[in-house]
Amino acid sequence: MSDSLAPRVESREAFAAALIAFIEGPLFARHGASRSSTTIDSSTPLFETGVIDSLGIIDLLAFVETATGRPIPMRKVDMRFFGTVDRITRAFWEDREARTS
Amino acid sequence: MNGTYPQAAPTRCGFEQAALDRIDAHVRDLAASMGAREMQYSALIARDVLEQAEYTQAFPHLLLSASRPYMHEPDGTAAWCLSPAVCYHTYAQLAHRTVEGPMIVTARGRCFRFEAEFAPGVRQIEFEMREIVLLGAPAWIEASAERARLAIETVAGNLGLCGEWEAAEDPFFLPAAAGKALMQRLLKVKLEYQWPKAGGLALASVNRHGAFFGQRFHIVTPDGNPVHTMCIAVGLDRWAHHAPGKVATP
Repeated sequence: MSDSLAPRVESREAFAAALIAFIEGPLFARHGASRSSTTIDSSTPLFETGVIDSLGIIDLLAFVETATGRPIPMRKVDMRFFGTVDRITRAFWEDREARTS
Repeated sequence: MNGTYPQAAPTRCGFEQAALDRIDAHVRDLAASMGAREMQYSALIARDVLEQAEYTQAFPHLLLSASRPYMHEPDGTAAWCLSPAVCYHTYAQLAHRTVEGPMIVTARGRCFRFEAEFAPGVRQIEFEMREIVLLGAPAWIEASAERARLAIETVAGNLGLCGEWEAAEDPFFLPAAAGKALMQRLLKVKLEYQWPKAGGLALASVNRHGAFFGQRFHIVTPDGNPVHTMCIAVGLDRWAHHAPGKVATP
């Protein structure tokens, strides 16, 4: 995935907004064949509803890694951290902020 | 023989085999308590079945075929393979059938996977596995998964194998399947009961397949929907190798 798809973001809100824009935009465009809805919000279940599938998850992880500048450890590939945009933001953006502050 | 000849599985004397049989008896009893029907399947499995299950596509690097020496098959592949797992026989057996209610099948079988190295009780080319295969409606499968997990943990714990459940993924061949592996881990469709004393070696696994095999083998519930499946796999060689002390008769 190109780094340009993961813009530099400076706040939690900006990260969540960029993530939603990425899912609704480039990710849907690439893997959206089976998708019924093209809009999501921060609490939309990403996996149970098929928003993200086995093709999209690689791009999703790459986006989060690029945007936060940190690799995602395998132990964090878990629904507790990936179920919704809100959970991803909490697990990866807020965690990054906590580590860098 | 000097004892260093290449081996695909450990050579066992009578009491060692008896210990493995007793471990299997514990797991078989667990299966019986769940209402499982005991089956016996062959070590060979038709390539067609594995193709239908997409095994040849997902794990070609592990597959061993039963080819005829000096005979060239028309398309270069053998019609028979050495079975890499027990549960594929169950799906083939029930293909094009309607499963009227929840169904549980159990079988012990010899399985074969190509491994570069042989380490007894850890990584074997030939090994024995007891599987418990569940077929039914999604809600029943989900509820059964948790019960099965606890039951396996109890049986293993009684044998001194106190492990930990971890989310895991299958060793897919193609890098393009990395997404499938991540999804398996994320959705916890494959849980392994790992033995920390052997570096997290998987002693058993609970694998939820959703409707995949129901669709692939045209096995349906009375409402016409593809049946959901799950299998619980217990690596008997690994249990026998790592179970401390004598394994009591159940």
